[in-house]
Amino acid sequence: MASELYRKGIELMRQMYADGVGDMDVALPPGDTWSKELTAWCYGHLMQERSVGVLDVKAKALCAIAMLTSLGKQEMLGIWIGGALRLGCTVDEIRETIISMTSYTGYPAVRDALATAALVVSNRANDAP
Amino acid sequence: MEKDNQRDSYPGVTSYQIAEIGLTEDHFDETRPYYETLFGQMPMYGKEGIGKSGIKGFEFTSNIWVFGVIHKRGYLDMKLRALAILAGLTVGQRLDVARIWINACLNVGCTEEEVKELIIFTSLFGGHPAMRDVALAFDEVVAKRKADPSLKMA
Repeated sequence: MASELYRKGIELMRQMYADGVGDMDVALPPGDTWSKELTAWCYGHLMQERSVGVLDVKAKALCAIAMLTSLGKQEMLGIWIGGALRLGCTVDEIRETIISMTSYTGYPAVRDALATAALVVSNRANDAP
Repeated sequence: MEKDNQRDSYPGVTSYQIAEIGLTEDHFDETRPYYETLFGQMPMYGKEGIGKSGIKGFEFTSNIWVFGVIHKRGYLDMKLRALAILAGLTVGQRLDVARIWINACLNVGCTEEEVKELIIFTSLFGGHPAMRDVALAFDEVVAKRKADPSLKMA
């Protein structure tokens, strides 16, 4: 039986990701429950349950983009940029969040992140009906 | 060309472009209110500067670059930009600068709950140890600011 936390996590992931999976595609054997636990923790608890009345999911998605830019994790950054767009963040907000990191994480990381953002935006435009 | 008036409609957006006019005293002066909103009184005045880097003059140019160019492009409000920077610094394990941005977040109007929530959120991306360091710094900053509410940099 799924917990309310997990159910909320899945709902948010369906809202953020066209495939409903996003970054929860962990390489583990079938039947392993870790990705479900992670879904409940990240998308149920950290992104939502703790956010009520404090920080909304859009703000957290933009902060996740800043963190992934800082860490230089392009694949996951692309996933979160797609998620942020589906949550209603604008392309300008996303680009500006990345550019804000220039003086803190350095231009190389920002350059790569902007390229990732451009690719995600371009793919979305191509996928549009 | 001295000013890009088309961008003046966005609050806080810089009106000077260094690609057009270089690094000028006017641009530096324009950044000062923004800087002081974030951090409190600017610790230097004019081109000579008395910043901590010890690189005479670099404080002048770097403040124009960071606060007069990057930060003032628009599109993000100060609170969200400050929170995003704190998030990036936390996962980058830059505790020294993260402490400064905890203060900045509070100075631009983020609530303690918002900053705390952001710090907790970083644990998934940067790991618990990095989050814990910044959470402890947050507690110290808040305690100092409560002891002396006039502090903008605790």
